[in-house]
Parts: sequence; C-alpha cells; structure tokens
Amino acid sequence: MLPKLSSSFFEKSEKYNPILISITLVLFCIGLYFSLIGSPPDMVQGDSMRIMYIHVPSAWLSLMIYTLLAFSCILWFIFRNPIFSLTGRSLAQIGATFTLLALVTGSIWGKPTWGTWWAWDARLTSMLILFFLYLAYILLWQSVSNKETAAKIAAALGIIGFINIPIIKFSVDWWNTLHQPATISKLSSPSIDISMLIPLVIMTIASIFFLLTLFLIRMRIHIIEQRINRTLGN
Amino acid sequence: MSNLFFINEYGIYILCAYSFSFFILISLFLININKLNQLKKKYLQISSDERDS
Repeated sequence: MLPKLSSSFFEKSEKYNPILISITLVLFCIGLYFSLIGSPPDMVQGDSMRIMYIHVPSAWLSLMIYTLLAFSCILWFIFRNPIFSLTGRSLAQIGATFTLLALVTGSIWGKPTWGTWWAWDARLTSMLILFFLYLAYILLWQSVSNKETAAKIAAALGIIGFINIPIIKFSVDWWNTLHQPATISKLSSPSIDISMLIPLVIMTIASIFFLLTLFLIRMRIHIIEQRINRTLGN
Repeated sequence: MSNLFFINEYGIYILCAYSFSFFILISLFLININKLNQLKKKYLQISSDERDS
C-alpha cells in the first residue's frame, strides 16, 4: 500500500509546497508587523507582553503536534500501515522544535515578568517533560536498527506520553503555579482585547502553515529514504 | 511612541525571543530542504546506476 500511496503523495506535496511556503511567509510578515508594531503594549506588563505572540502559538502547536503524533501511533497499532509510523516520525522533529521555542521564549518572557528565567512549577515542568518525550521518540527511531521493533516501541511511547497533554493543559488549574491560567481558550469570553487577539491568531495560523510545509517536506524525506533502502536492498 | 519597544527596558528580551525563534525555524526549514535535495540526487543516481547495469 505504501509505494502507491507514497508516490502520489510525493508528487502532490511537491506541487503544493511552493504555495504553502509563500502563504507561510506572507502570514509571518503580517503577523510580525502586528506583533511588534501594530498592537498596543499591555497595561500591566508593557511591551514584554509582545513575546506572547511567539510563545503562545509555539506552545499550542507543541501540544497539537503531540496529539497528532499520539493519534498516528494509535492508528499504527490498529492498521499496522507504515504510513502512520512515517507520519509520527515526520511530526516528532517539528513538535520538539516548537516545544523548545515555547520553553525558551517562555523563559525569556519570565525574566522581566516573574523576575526569574525558570521555576519548577507544574506548567513549566510538564512542558519540559513533553520536550523529553519528543526527544525520546526521535532517539528511539535513530537507535533501534530493526524498523518494525522501532515502530512498535515508538508507538507505545507516543500513546503513553499522551497522558502528559491534559496535565499540561490543566496544570494551571490543578496546581498553584507562577504561570497564568488560560485566557484565550475560554472561547465564550476570552479575556484578551481584540487588538492583541488579531496578531496572536495570525501568528498561530502562520505557525500551522509552517507545520504543514515542513511536515510535507519531512514526509518526502522519509519516503525517499525508504525508496533508497528498498533499491539498495534489491 | 509606544511602539518603539526596542529602545525600552524590554527591547532586548523581545529581540532575543523573536530572533532565537526565527533562527531556529529558518534553520530547521533549510536543514530539511537541503536533506531532501541531497536524497533526491542520491535516489536519481542510484536509479540511473541500476538502469545502466
């Protein structure tokens, strides 16, 4: 199933990738304008709040990507189709990058806001665990030579690690943390002004397009690697 | 003049956060594009070698 599916996928993703790259670039340019110039400073935090426009989309995407990864692991266990392990492998590196960005930008934002670069509170620690989960998933694929065994262990890790996602989401409600509680996800009454919501939404959409672009590139990398291995194997 | 954030006390933090983020994202993109192009070349080379033999 994989060769036929991957062949048409390969051609289509090659065709659409320049369009996705262009949309991502335009969205990031508009998002950066609104984030750095077009939006007002916060009444309490002043201009340091502008870090939110890069920190929050990174954090959202890190959770979203892990959810997709865990879903692909479940599908791999059900159907045993290699396309799902390729999906997981393609997502892991991107997810680890966005988690790293969320941790670093959060730390930079924390210094002027909380007076410290790092605190071992529930939200920050659970995000760090998420980063290690991504690293473990990537290292597993690289260190286990038998790909069938690697797929099995990685899928198990992906599913077990999903326990961390609701912990991250609700950590600010379950424990007393330095991190502020949810402000934007309360869709019925978001406690954020529209002038700040606009750049945040644009930067989030730009990050999603970046994820899509890179995901397609990484899928093609894994497909072509498999083709090379198959050709050399023959 | 509130938008001149880069000259106020928070400017260095904002510039660090944005420059680090975009440096990482652009690097990740370029590394993957480069890897894909190298693999494509390798695959074409292997395919043509196989045809020749």
